[in-house]
This record gives sequence, C-alpha cells and structure tokens, in this order.
Amino acid sequence: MATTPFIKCTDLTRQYTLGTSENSWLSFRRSETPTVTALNGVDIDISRGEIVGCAGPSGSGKTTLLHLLSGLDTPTSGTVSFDGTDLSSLSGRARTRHRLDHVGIVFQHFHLLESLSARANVALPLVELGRPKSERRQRATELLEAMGLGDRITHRPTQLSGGEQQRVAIARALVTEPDLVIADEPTGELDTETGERVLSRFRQVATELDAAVVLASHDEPTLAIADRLVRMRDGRIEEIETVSQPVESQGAEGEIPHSTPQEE
Amino acid sequence: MGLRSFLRRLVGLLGVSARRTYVRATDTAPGRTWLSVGGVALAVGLMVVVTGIGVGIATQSTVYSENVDYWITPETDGGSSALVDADSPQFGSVHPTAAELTATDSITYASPVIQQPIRIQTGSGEAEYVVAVGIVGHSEFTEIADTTTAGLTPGDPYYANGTWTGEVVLSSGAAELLSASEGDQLTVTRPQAGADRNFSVATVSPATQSGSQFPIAVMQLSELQAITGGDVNDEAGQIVVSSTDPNTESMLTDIYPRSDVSTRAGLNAQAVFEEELPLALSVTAAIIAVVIGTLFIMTTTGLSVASDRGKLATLAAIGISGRTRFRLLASEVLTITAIGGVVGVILGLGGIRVTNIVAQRTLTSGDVASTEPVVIAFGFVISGVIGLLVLPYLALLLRRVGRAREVGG
Repeated sequence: MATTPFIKCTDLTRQYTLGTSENSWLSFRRSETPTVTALNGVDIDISRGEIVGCAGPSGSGKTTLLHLLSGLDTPTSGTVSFDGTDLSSLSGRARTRHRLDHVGIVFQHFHLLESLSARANVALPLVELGRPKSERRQRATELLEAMGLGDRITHRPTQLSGGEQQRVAIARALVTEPDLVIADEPTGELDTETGERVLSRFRQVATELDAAVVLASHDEPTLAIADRLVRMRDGRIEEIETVSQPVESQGAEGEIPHSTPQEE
Repeated sequence: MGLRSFLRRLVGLLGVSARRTYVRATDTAPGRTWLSVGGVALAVGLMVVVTGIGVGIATQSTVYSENVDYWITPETDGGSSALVDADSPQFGSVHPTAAELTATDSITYASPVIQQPIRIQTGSGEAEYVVAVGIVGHSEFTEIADTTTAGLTPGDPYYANGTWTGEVVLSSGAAELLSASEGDQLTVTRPQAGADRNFSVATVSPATQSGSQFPIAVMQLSELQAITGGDVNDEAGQIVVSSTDPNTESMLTDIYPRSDVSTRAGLNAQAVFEEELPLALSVTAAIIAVVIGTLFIMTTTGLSVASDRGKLATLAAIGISGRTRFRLLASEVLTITAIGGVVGVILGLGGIRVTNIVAQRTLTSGDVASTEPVVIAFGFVISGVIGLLVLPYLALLLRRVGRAREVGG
C-alpha cells in the first residue's frame, strides 16, 4: 500500500443555511437565518492506493465529506488539498474539469442517463475528453464486461436491475482511470456475491491504478475492504481505525482494463 | 485542445443529443417533445400560408374577386386613351378573334371595341356629335367607358349578314345633349359607307358614373363598322378581354403582332398590392410566428430543463463542462425546432393548397397563394431563428439549474 499523502483535509467545515435555497432566483440572507453544520473541523489525510471507509449514522456528514473530497462542493472553511492543489481556490469550471480528469464518483442512486445505453453512459466522460469513438466503445465495453454486464451493454438503465445499474455507475466512475474514486453506498443494491466482486474491483483500482478510494456505507462487510475506517458522528470524526486486510482479499480475478492512449 | 479532439467531442455530443431526443420523443417524454414540435410547426405553418398569399400577390399569381380587364391595343409611339385614339392603327378580323378568345375557358368574354365620333340627328331635327363606341355584347360585359351596355343584344347579331338591331345606349351626357330618352328614334346623318342608318335608344345610362357626363353612344360593333366602313376588314381599334386567369396577359400578347396588353380595371389597387401589402403580410406573419414559436419553445424548454435538473447535475458531477451541457441542450432545442420547421413547412404547403382550392371554388379561377421556393426557405429560416432566440434563455436556465452540488447521494 502506498503511503504518500495525496489528499489532505484541514479543519474542514461545511455549514448549510436553512430556509433559503441557493438556487432560488430571488434568494436573500438575513443575519439571523439559522444554519446547520454538516461537517465540523474535519482533518484527514488520504494516500494513493489507499481505501478509506466512512461509517456513521445518517446525518453524520459522510456524504458531505465525499462531496468536498470530490470537488462537488466547497467547504465553508478549511481546505481540501488534492495533490497539492487547494480545491477551494478553483473556479467552478476548473473543479468540473478536475472531476473529469481526476475523480470518479459512484452515486448512491446511480444517476445514469436513462435515454442512453449502458455503454453510452459509461463512455460519456470519454466524449468530454475528446477520445475517438472506437476507443470509447472499446473501453466502455471492456469495463462493462469486467463488471459482468457483457450481455447488457446496449440496454438502457430502465431495462437493468438495480444491481446492474449500480455496476454501470461504477464502470462509468472508473472509465477515466481516476486518481480518486468516491463511492456512496456502492453495494447498497447488490447481492452478496456481486457486492464482493465490486469491492474487489475497488481494491484493484487502488492497487493497480494507485488510486485513492473513499467509500461511505452503513454496511460493515462493505467497509471491511477499507484500509482505514473513519467513524463519523454529528459532522465530526469520532475515530479512525486501521483495518488489517486478509491476504486473499488483496486481489481479484482478472485485471482492470486499462485504457490505451491512441495517437491523436 | 486540438481541432480533432474538439471535433470528436462535438460529434460525440451530437450523437448523445440525437439519442436523447429520439428516446424522449418515443419513450420518456413524447408528449412534451411533440408539443414543442407542434408549437413550432403551427407557427411556421401559419407563417408559410400567409407568406404564400403575400408572395402570390407579389408575383401576380393572384387575381381578385372582380375580373380584370385586359386591353389589347396596337403598338403606338405615344400613350393611348379609349376616347381619343379614333385614328389609331386598327386590328383586323376582330370578330373571329374575339369569338375564339371568348371560347377559351379562362376568359370570361372578349370584345373588339371601336370608338368613332359620329353625328347623330334626333327626331326633332337637331344633330350633335357624340363618341360612338361599338362592342360585341355579352351578359358579363356590363359597362364600357362609364356607360352601361344593358339594352344591347349579346353577340352582335348584325355581324355576318345578320339582323340590324339599331340598338344604342346613351350616356346621360349624350341623352342630355340630344334631348333623347329611351325609345326615341335617332339617325346617324354622316354615314361613311352606305345610306343613313336608324337607331333606337335602348337605354339611357344612369348618371352615377364619374364619366357619365361625356356624350357616349354605345352600339353593336358591326353596326358601327357599317357606318364607319370598318366592316370591310372587320376592323377594331382595341380588344377588351375579361379574365380571372393570371396567365391571360402573357397569352394575349401573342394574339396580334406589335400590340400592347395592359390592365385597366383595378390597375391602381393592384399596384398597391404588388409592392407593399405582401411585404407587410410577410413581415407581420414572420414576427408573429417568431414570437409564438419562441414563447412556445421557451416554455417547453423550461419544463424540460426543470425535469432534467437531476440529470444535468449528474453531468456536471461527472465532469461534463457547462459549455458542453449547454451545447447538448442547445442541439436538442435546435433539433426540435428544425423538426418543427419541416413539419410546419409541410403543414404550410398543405394550407396553401387548401387555401387555393377554397379560393378557386368561391372567389377566383386562379391560385391565391404561391408555393415559391422562397416561401419554403423562409419557413426553415424562421424555425432556425426561433431556435436561436431560445438559446440565451437556455443559457440563463443552465446558470441556475443542474449544478453539480445539486446531485443527490
């Protein structure tokens, strides 16, 4: 396992204002508007090749921490340093590009585009990267086959089960070979056997791609894959446990398909 | 970023857009999609019909509810007038020519016309000069030189050794000059060929027309020819043709060599139509179509973006840039408006067809509206304009909706 500090969170705090929508067209704030603190002074370092699990009850701040790590959101105070870059200093456009280049996200509710096939969903980030069509199709197909969905590549999400949709979402997160994989309840819709296969893929990502993986889950068997387990409560880190991994779980059958850069 | 990479992104994006549009139209949101297409199609279709009518007027493919009179006159150096060109060049064999023209489906009637000053003597012995106008009567030919033709037997019975009718219709000015009234006997005292000829006043034209004060005497063409000597070569100075067919004018130019064809009746009103009304119609129709179509697409786009809020947030979350998201939705909007434009043009062409059929059954024998290529092109252009006008609104929506942080767990 690599030990080089890769992501460094310092005094990370995120507060949300109650009663106003930041998306409303005519929002205004008053000094007495109540706020809720979703994350309160969190400090954590994450290394390349490391799997970090986040555990805790609902409302403990797990999802907020994942959003800040991935650059989906910015902290109210504190910093998230990603390979030396403070994500808070980046513009929204730059953070979007940062996510495309460096982060793969598996959402709890998958968020697949229902009008596109499984393969098109997986290949979507590669469209934004300007990769050739042949490469996009090949890469997406390989990943879906690795996820056991070789016979489902042309199916649309509405034609897939929850578990199959989750695996498509995972394939989409891995298609750009990210430096950081964020997964919120990645095995929530999977049966035990499929869940184990998916978790072994995360281990492969960490070891073969030297990527950091951060999982949030209520499920203890899922969290058992983690090298470190962060227990959270009320927006704070309650405890960080180091988990010793059994030797047989360090690898998984097959290898993660690697993209082969094609000549421009 | 290289050009090739940009093109790959663009092509890939268009593929995603096309796929999304297809699935929305056939599966996930067919109602809203086809409502959008229908809104644009309706606006464009109506505009195409109105513009088609405007272009129809502008290109003279339109005729009006009243027949248009075409006048065939011998080519002269100066201007001509129905009342003063008594010694102008004459056409020959005018009766057969007029009969042939009248037999044409698109022509209501055709009549040679002679104007000749003649001296008429009344029963009291007084004689005055009037302008005699000779015509071939027809039931639809009701007036000439602001004088009614009622009272003249149709068909010029005296032609080709027929019966002398002696019918003459006097304008109110002629009746006043001659102190004559209906039924009075008149004599042409200066016949140029043969003996005096007797006439009877068939009708006195009412003094309601602007030119009724002029001394006009309308009579059968062949009888006036007999007086003036024009019967030898069957001569007339002009031929008047009444038709509702817009192609008549070009056909008439081939009747006689070295002749001019002009429209007299409704000429001024038509000139106004030709230049200004079609343009006003087209501009108004275009503005209304753009406003209606744009508002329609803006509304449905707003609904689509609101319902796609989660998907747009997902795209942002996985790293799809705001510019790409805008291009994706913009291409979908432009696709929808383009389809709407095509459907609208088809609807418009159908509307023009229906308009022409209805018009031909109720108003005229010709086409009211035209399907010129410019009308079709105009429809596509307007649908494009509608799509382009919606894009700023779309950009504004995307600044507020579908940001990455909105994505749920």
